[in-house]
Amino acid sequence: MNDFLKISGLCAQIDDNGTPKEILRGLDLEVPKGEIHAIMGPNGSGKSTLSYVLAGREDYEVTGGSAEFLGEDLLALEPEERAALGVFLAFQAPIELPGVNNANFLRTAVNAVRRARKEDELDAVGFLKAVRAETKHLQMSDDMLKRNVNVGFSGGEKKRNEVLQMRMLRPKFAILDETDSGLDIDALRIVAEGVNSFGGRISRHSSSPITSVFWTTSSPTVFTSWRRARSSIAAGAKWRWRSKLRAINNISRRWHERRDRSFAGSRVLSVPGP
Amino acid sequence: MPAVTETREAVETLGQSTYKWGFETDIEMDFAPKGLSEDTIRFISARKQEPEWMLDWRLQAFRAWQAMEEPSWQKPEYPAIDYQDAFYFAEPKNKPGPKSLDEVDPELLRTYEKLGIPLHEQAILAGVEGAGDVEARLPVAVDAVFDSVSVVTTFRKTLEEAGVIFCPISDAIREHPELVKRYLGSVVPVSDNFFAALNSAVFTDGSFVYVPEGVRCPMELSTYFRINARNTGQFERTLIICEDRATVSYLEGCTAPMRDENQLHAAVVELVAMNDAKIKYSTVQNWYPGDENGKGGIYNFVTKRGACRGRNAKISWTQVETGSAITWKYPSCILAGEGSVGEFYSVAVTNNRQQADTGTKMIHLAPNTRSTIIAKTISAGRSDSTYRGLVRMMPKARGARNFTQCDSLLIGDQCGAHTVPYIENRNMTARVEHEATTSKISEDQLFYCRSRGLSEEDAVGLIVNGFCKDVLKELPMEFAVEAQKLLQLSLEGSVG
Repeated sequence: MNDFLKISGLCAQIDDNGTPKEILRGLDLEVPKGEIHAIMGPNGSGKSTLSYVLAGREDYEVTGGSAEFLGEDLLALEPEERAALGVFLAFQAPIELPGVNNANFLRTAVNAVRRARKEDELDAVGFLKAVRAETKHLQMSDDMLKRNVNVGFSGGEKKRNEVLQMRMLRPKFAILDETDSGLDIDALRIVAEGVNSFGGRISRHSSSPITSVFWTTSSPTVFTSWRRARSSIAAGAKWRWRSKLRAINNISRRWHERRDRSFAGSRVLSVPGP
Repeated sequence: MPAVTETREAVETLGQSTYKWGFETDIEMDFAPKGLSEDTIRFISARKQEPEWMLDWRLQAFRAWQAMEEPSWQKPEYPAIDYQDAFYFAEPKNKPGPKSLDEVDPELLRTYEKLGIPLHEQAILAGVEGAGDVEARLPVAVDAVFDSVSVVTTFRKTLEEAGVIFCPISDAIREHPELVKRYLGSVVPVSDNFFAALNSAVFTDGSFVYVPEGVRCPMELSTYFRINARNTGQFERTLIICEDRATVSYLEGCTAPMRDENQLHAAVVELVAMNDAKIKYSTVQNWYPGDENGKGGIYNFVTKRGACRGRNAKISWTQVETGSAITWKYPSCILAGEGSVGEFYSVAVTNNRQQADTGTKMIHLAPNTRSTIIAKTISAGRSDSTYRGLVRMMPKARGARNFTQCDSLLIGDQCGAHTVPYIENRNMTARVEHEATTSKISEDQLFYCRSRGLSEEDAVGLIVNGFCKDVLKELPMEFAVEAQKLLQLSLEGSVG
């Protein structure tokens, strides 16, 4: 039995200038803990919609089905309650918050989540220590902590900042919505390693469940072993809207090789076999 | 951010928070006869044991007021005020000074407690003899104006040693008549405007600060105004003078109990800065704003003006306006000294049915004068907020510069924000810049914060505080945190 994440018959629509537009039409999907899933599909196939619905965005109306996460009815929770429970969404286009200091924002978020989880809040020193370790890992400059949240960040900096937030908030289930898009090879490697080592750290040093990751992408070339990633979806999910998902079979060989080199030894790229 | 945490706790303890400072104290009061006439003014003047010249000054103002008409060019609308249907003087009955806290009216002490004033400071405020000597370590001197009488002034002694005079203005009229005569009404003349004239006629108390040449005032000076009695207008008068190379930082905080009727608050503040003097005047105003339907609340019609009379003098206004049913004021600077600097930093928050029409006037008279205006307005509910500002470059203002930035933030879709900048330039070498933006807190921003675990209210608080950062950082440290909390409290329930 899987009690980690279970999505059944999920239907969701969005208001498209007054007329409801159905996007998810009965999605079934089970994710056991500790797995990494790639959600692939062309633009408009509903990858971001699925991400937003799971994170609790109000613009999307859930018209049917259910989503259970750790035994709780995920869809009944407020976004902040989902965050406290361990759901994290890395935005495809991270939002700018003018005037809000990045470090301050991060600390407020971390402590809000810690409070909800009945953990001690981090004081300024403890927080700074924790965040410095993470920024070093992600090769981010301290300068990024001093700037305002996502304001004036380059595309790559924004994505790195999302991964930083993920690592600091320690979710159990992370949704990375196109976190690979717009990144050059080097940035992609750093981000991928950030995601990868995160899962590993959780499993080695703590008793909390291994984090599961959803990584939506329109270019499955991110995953060197994308065939295996895809097969894991095929095994765990029944996409009723499969017709929309198009397996991309003709990946350029050259691309493939370059990615292979960049991602050598990076476990995020393959589906860990239990 | 600890401030946000504290705010959350504050909000939680308040439950479905209403006006936090909305308690009423039942203290025996002495009232002047209701209504406004020469007799009322003579009564006030006599009760204050004022010299003859002061009474003449008041009567002159009263006659000027009688000949004036209430202005009507402003944006906020309010029903006509009946000036004969109010008390102009109310004073707590409790004299002479008590010997210990036990002798102080317990109601008064309870009020201080609710205001969060620590016990030893309560003792000082309540006028317990000798209480001031022990607590000279505290960094802030408080002058509490309880209705019309400044109950007592703390730290007068420490300040006296530095040569600084900080006392109720009624004391100053008796003890330092030469200074008061020279400066009172010199920045805001008695006939300046309708409300200033009214204030000049009936003002009952307020603060007086005099910093002599070369002295840097050793502590922040703070005044706590509170309107308690029913139907009393609070007409306080503040006069701050900084001689050559003197420096002072002054903060006023304001609260009033919840009442169904509207109360008028028409204060006048005058600042005078001589050569190289610096005056920093900060206001945190949270008068009772009325309920959700706009019933009750304070009319805050205030005239604040500072004159930079000397070379390189500097006057800086910082205000955080969260309260009052109507806020209508323009803290201004007259830059008469060469190279003098005027600054205006403002945050005005309106919620429910509040209205605010606020801004500044920068009058550049002398060469190389500079002014900076940063105004942030936040409107929520069905409130309406206007920035109205004047920058005037006079012919002699060679090389003068002004920079103005007005930003408006809208929460919800039933509120309004307006920006009305007036610019008059009569000198071709002067430079005036104006920038303005209007934005809304977007659903995207709220969702982004909430998906990181922040509650909706924390998210709004974070975004609003970010929006106001440029202004809040100008406040003295102790009050910046307070102001952040206030912002969040006043916007509570404005989203969703």
